[in-house]
Amino acid sequence: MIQRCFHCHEDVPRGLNLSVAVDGEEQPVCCAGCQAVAALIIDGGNADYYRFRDGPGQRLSPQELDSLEHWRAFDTEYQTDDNGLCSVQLFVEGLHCGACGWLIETRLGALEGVDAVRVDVQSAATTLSWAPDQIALSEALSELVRLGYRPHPLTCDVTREVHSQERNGLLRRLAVGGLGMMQVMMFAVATYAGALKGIDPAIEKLLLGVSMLVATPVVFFAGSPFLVGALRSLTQRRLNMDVPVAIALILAYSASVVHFFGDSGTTYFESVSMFVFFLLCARFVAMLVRHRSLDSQLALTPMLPDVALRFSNDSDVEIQPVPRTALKPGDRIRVRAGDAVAADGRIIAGRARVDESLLTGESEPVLKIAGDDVLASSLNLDGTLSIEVTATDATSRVAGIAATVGSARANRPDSVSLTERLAARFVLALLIVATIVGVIWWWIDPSRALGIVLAVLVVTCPCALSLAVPTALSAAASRLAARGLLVQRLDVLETIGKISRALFDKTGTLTQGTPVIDRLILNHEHPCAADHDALLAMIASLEAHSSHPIASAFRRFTPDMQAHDVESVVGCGIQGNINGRRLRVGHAEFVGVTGNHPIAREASVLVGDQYGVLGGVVMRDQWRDDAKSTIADLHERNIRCSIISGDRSDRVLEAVAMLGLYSGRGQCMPEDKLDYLRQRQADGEVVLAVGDGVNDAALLAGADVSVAVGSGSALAQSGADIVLAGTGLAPLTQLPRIAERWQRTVRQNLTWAIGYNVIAVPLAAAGLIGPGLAALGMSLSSLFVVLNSARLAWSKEPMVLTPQATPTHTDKVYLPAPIRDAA
Amino acid sequence: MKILFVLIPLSLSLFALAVWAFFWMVRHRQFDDLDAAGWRILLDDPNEKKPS
Repeated sequence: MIQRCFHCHEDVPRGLNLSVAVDGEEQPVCCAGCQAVAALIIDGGNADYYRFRDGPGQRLSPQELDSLEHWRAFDTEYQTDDNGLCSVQLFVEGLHCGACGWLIETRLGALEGVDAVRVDVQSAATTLSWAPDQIALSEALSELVRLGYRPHPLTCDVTREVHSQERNGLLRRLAVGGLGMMQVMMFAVATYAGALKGIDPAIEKLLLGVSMLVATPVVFFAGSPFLVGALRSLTQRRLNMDVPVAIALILAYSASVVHFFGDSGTTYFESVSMFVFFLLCARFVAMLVRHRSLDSQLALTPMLPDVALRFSNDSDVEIQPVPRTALKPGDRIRVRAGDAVAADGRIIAGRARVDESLLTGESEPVLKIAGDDVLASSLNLDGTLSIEVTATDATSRVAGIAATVGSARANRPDSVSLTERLAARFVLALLIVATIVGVIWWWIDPSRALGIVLAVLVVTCPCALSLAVPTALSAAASRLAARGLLVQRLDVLETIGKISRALFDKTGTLTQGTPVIDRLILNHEHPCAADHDALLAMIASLEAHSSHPIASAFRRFTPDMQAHDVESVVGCGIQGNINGRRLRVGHAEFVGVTGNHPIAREASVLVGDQYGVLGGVVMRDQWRDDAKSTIADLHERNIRCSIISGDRSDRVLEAVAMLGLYSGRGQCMPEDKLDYLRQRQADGEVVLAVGDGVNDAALLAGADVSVAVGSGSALAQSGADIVLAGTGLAPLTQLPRIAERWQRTVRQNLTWAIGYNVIAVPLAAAGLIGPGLAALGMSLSSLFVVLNSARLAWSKEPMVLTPQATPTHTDKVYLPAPIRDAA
Repeated sequence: MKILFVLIPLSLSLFALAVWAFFWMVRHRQFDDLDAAGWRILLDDPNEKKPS
């Protein structure tokens, strides 16, 4: 049986015997890194972390864990404030649940000299303040790394500060509006009772006066967003929902003040206050929806390294770590094998293969030599480079891309603005109706005209209408988030219910994306043939020096031998001396045999010495555990699942059989994937695409609904409608369920809001509803909508439902005859 | 009805107090993370108050 690592939940390689003691019991771990992290957490008395966390920890290599020198770059970066303290906001990779937050707060907080640690789990941010004369920031950061997290001091989130200010401003207004409304209502009830039972006019006057006193800040402070919004929309010559709201507010408030001082007519202080408060609630909910969709933007930045290794001014050997942002054009930096390039620049010495897939979409690494340009965020796979920086951090290519993506997202129209457009027409109609009603009543009975116009304006307030969609969206989004689906574009919820086809990428999406060792092939004809363990140990000790993606599969072994004079040969493999023997690990040709050698035909990584091939390793990409069940579930919901991959066709067919897919197509270039998608769409299908990499970006962009796997590349995620948090595919099965419930809720809300207005407007226009009753009706109507939406987020439905009857919408979708296509 | 002259100022001062308290809470970022407090009380602090 394969054991799971206690810390990171990955498979423990066969034959590895590492463990940590938890509550007196030995638990297996997958590598020395996890062992060190788990031991530190448990020995520090934080074993509760493992009981309460909601997902596995990150896997860090022992080299990464020893990061003190690395963070020295930041020790002198921060200024002390008046109290002699420094503070920094970190983005913490790997921070995903409350238990992580607790662990970080208690462990960092216990360090001598750390003043305060504040973790915000939602945005994975940690604010740290410390006394620089007692502790260096590098010590705190390296402690954070030892706990299994990757801090990013340079990824500061500006939108967060803006959001927080906006939210706090609205919260203050909500408080004044809500508390004020309650006060005014209390006084109003007294005057209502007085109207029934008789009241001393002086006392009534007093109560009204106090009402006015409280209603004034409610209208002008709490209600200011609407007044300001209406003013802005009028200066731009556009109508939005703020306009009738502001008109009603001003009209009702000034009429009440005039009536109060004129000792005649009705006052509407209580209606006005209630109106403001309920509208503010709607505003607040809409803001929460908007902020949530922007939160995941953070994921873009950490692809740049925080620390660069800069050559001291006139030395070619002396190197010091500096923050990435401190680099200036003309600086020379060193980029080691395995590190990401920190800045755009030109190579002045060294050669290496560079993976630029994040920026260019080119999945094959490119060989770069002196004189070539390299871009920030590309990954140096092998070899050491010296680079002369040509652009500052803010002007680098990757910063430009991030900015474009950000602005593209900010300008994206969504269904919230669709209801706003609808509401603008509604508002225009409403203003016309109110004017006509006012004019008519002026003819009939001028003394009642104002009250009736107010009643019409208030009773029809587009409140319920404008709340119908955003509240349901927010509820659905929070429910999806709780299920592990982060929705970045809320308007896709409408489309999800219509999906008839799901296209999956293979590598990294249906599979875990990191190759694991399938088996070893030994060459028994070799004069000094090695056994299973010895062969693995040889490879592991050589690959420990490599940063090639395949090397990570071997990293979990801690070999008992040391390799010397290790040198990686660009594009071929790696060689070094072990126990006086010169060994090579890599391609068949590199090891000294042709591709036709029996071992080379099966194994992708070969080992050899001067006498020939010792053996080979067959690598395999593992299916995700929940891939099969997810696909079966989607099929039950009449969504046909297909695989579309750049991999060989026979492997794709194998996947179709293994996972029970509907069809599959292999050997697809990104354009082929897009073509295939377009064909399906031309056949009338609504397509969900699930992918992880840059090669899927086109597919994701073209799909009706796109889902990026959480572990995938940042650019794929930034373009996707939905990002899968965590490591599994299972949350996908929740998509159609929640989307369907969302649609049902929106339909109910809209029916209610429209039905309510259709009944209430004629009644108000006929003078049968006073402004007070109108405000009550409006509030109840909004409340109904909000509570109905909240049902979506609150209700506890079991995670696995019995398959429902065929959804009606698929009947309408034209399904072409099944094609089993494998190119 | 003289009681009104006590009750009205009382209710107004309560209103002012509540608004002030709320503003204070907003200023001290108590609404920034509504989830954290939940787990913070559930998990014990193994490192008792550090000397500062």
